[in-house]
Amino acid sequence: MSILFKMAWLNIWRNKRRAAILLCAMCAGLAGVIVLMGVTEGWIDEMLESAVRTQEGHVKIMGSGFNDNPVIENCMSTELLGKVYDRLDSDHRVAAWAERVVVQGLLSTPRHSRIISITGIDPSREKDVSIIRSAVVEGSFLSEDEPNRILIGQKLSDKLQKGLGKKAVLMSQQVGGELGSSAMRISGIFNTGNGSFDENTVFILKSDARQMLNLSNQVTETVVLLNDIDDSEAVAAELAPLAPQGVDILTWKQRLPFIVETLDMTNRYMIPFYAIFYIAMAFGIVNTLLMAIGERTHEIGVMLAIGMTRMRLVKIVMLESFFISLIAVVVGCAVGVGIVTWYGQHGIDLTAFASGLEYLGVGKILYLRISAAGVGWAAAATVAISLLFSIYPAAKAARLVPVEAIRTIG
Amino acid sequence: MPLIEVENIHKEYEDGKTTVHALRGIDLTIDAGEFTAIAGPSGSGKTTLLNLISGLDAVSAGNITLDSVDISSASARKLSQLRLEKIGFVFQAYNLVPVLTARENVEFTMLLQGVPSGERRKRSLDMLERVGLGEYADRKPTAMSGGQQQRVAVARAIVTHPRVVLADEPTANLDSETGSRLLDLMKRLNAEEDMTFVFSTHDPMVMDYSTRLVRLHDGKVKSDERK
Repeated sequence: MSILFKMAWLNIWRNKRRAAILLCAMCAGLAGVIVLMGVTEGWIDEMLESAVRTQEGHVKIMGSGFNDNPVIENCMSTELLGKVYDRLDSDHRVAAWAERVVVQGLLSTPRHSRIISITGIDPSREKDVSIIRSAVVEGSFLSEDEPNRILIGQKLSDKLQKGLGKKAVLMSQQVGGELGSSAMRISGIFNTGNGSFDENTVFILKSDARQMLNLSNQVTETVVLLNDIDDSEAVAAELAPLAPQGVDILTWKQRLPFIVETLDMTNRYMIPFYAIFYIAMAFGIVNTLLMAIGERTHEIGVMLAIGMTRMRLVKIVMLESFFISLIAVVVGCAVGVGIVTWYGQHGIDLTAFASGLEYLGVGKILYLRISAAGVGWAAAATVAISLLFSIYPAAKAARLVPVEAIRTIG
Repeated sequence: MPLIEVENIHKEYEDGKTTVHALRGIDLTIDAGEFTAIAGPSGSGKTTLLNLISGLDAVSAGNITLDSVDISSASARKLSQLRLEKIGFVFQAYNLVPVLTARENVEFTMLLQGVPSGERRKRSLDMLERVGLGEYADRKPTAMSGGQQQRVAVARAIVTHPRVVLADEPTANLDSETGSRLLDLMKRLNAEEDMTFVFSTHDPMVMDYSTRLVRLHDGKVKSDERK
């Protein structure tokens, strides 16, 4: 090992207690940043996963204009989607797909009426693209053998004071402006954990929806679930040329601008919080190095006297800071990633805040997540801050006048 | 041939609102191979003179030439290079880098000169043998006595074969027996290597060992005696 590297390394440990305190502070700071990133990424993942798995999927095929104006006139004929469906069936990136008829309508009981989103589904396919089947907490999922059944959310059930077996009437506008209606019986109650969704969405059979809306082979959307969300753009781009005129292929990013915006905004708003950790680290580094240099003034004077260049002295001080940051990175990342991994498996219980969180699409248990890129970013920032903030103490050491420094005893 | 030529140098510095005249017109010539002690009471200017000769401090007036290099007008970078190549230093105490071993301390100046590591290691071990500390090569300064540390400092000062070794009160923190052994070593190196030594001291033993004694008083040369 080069003598200068050895000097820099051993200089750190001259005052072991001080080095330990600084390292503890830096490790705690870095672990804190990683945990904070874990909470943020976990929350965003949870929100996105919730949206994708309850309703949105990764890619949606829709009649032109339906995304901006979701009225039944903007539905699409499935007869023209043969090539698209063939491609979906043969693409290994596609996990599942299902057709839906989604319209706004009115749900009426003798005592209440509510505007809700009516979703007509194909149960055998829907169970693979969304969590609705597994979210049924009472009664049973829809079945093609049992028409005129309706699934409602737990929250809606509570508000309507209507449970299993009770009747409800659905009404919605048909193509052409006529009003269609159907009497349904509640066969199941679901709870997705997303309060807003559960309160405003009901599920019926696609065939019942078509009958109520006087449709033949039309649907309003085909939802596609992929194995990897990162393939969304590529799959959508490859489907677009196969889609007939009058059909749009949209990714979740186009469908969920709120989540995209939230993701961007969260990343931006978190920067000041990360900065607090790093500023605290920076002060610790500057303070420690200044104290260390103060204690070594005589020695630095001797080194300058015997011919050491000031640039070499700067390098030694910066190397000390670099070594400190490396230790902090190894230990801090291990602790931070350890905490995130543990809470990623066991989750943080947010039951106390559940009523507010469920409207944001987040469940009662928050599972922390962190990407390798996130950990790399936090580690790189620690090293960069350490090097940047060692420049001032290093320059101060290099500016020492040898003859004055040598007079300093100790 | 003169190695060091000091011509009518003055050194003044400010101490609060008063101007202190540390040196008041010193003229001195030191030849290669001399073993010179600059003696005098505290405040006489002996350490200041050594600092000026080494270029660690700047003269207020006058000229100093070391091995034909005009120190008075040299840049800081040139002075640093001059000290590295032509001057060996031994200070009063705390000469060594405490985190490095004796061998690494001796290697240090060679490292700064860019000597390859294999050669550095060989020369530093040879030099430690010569100063009688071969078996202490891997010890750190904190595990050595004050006398041993000063001998390591001497080894570091001479390992690069400088033109002159400047020693500022090298025996001040040593007992007389240890000081005597250190001076024996430097005297031997002076004889064997024809290396020039200049001491600042108020230690009578150093004065006895020297072959030339320059006495300073109030910043002036009071006497200059060759033995």
